[in-house]
Amino acid sequence: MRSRLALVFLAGVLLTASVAALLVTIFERQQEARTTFVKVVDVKEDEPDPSIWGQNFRGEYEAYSRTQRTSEMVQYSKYGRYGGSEAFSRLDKYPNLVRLFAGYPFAVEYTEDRGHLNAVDDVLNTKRLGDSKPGTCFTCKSSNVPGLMKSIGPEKFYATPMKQIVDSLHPAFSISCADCHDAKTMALRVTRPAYVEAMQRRGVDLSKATRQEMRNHVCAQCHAEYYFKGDGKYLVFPWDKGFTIDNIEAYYEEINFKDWDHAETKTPLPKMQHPEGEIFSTGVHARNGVTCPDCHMPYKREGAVKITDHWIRSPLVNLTNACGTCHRAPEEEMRSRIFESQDRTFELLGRAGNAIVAAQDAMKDAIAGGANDDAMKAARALHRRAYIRWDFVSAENSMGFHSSQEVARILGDSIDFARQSEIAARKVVEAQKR
Amino acid sequence: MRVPLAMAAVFSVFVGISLFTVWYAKGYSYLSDDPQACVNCHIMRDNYDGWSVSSHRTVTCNECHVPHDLIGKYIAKAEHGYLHSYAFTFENVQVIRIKPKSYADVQDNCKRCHEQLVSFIVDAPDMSCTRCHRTVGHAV
Repeated sequence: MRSRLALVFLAGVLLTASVAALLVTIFERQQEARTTFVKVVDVKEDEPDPSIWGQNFRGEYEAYSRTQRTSEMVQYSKYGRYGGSEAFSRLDKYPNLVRLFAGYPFAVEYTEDRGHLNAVDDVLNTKRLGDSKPGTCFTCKSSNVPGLMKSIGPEKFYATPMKQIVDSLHPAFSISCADCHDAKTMALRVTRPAYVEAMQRRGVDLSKATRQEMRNHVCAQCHAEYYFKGDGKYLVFPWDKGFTIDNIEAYYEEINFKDWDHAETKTPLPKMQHPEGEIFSTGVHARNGVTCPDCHMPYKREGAVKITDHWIRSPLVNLTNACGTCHRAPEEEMRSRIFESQDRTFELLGRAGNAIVAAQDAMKDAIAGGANDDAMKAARALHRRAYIRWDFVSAENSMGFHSSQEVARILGDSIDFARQSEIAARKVVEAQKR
Repeated sequence: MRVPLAMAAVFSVFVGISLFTVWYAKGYSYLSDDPQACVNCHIMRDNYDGWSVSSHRTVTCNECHVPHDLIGKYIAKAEHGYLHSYAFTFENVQVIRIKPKSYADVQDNCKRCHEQLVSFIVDAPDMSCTRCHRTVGHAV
């Protein structure tokens, strides 16, 4: 009898305690919903140090900090198959890159890019260009840049050696808060002059952009194809004629631009770099008004508070929040849709790469047989057309997912131009035999 | 005599705190049909906002989301209440997914009002109104 009483007593105590605990969490959630933001410090304009912003925005800062340590916490290679944030050597993984980039620093070192907070370390450590990098290379690497662009101006910034800029900073902070946010209002802002200039030439006034449009602009100001103009290494986006590869090609033809002459074929080639903004803009998600952060920084819940997940990362490791807001299909289905699009792109990309290497072989034969520049002209022009299309897709970070149909079209053209180039070069070789 | 007294004390504290919790969390509102009850918790805010501008904004959440027999209705409410409060207390959920039973309830309720219009087409296997008309209630 006594022990039964004790048991009932104990159960009563436990029940009471759990109801009290429930009451407290309900109270906490309601409080969280009331105050979503506590201002601890005054963040000054263009403050480069993210930890200062982080005192006011702890949830965002903690998540953003994870961009430094992604591979510790998530082995991307287990989820995605092609990109991610682990610094594997692309040259080891795809050996024909060494021939495709022959004569250019990308044939020396080409590692997969890591998360945002590694940008300064990675640009300092890459073997490409060594200490001869101009300031332009630092444009998109650091949250010190918005302030520097205002104090010394873009022209001087680009022309100063990168090492000199980095040495003047104590320390140089990687890409962070100030790159995208206004310290006073937290509004999104474009901080790279080259993007503002390119948009002005296209007749787009960024000060009139909506918040949703800004969610693309702040990413595209760096995730885009660019070139260095003249000896001052002035950063320019090649968008005067439009965002497709055909528009960009026409622009580069007009100014006769090249980054280097291919070592095997002497074809003048421009290197393409991460055209995420351009390729995404041609895809089905862009057409439906979806923006970069909708998938790469989807909303998440911390207690009662809904915040933008600042752990910027592949949606493949965060499918529920990234896709689930719009798509009601289960995670497995969303994952397989992404893989299907990426696998098809990868196969086409491989075919395009192989076709270009075949064209290089034929051109090498022709040159070895004594062909002059005049005889090589047609094959080189086609090599250039094939190469920029292949690299436009290869350098883009989504393996085609950002716009799968457009990417397939580009690679189809690339394969055709490569084979035409091969045929043109083989004709030169035939003529040499006669 | 002493032991029952102690138990009565514990019991009264339990009942007191429980009643206060129900009052504080507006627990009684969940017995009603008022859509406001669904946004007591912040997690339904997006769905509520979507509903308030949808074509179905003149009918309540319960018109679609619970069965319309008295017992079934309160069983469904209890189930929803349990699942929602569990998720909101112990998990950080952002994306809400409807459970199969609730999905069937919604389908039944589409038919309940629109039967004359749709009785010819809805009885095919795997047919569901919201598969196509997914935004009629709330877009998110």
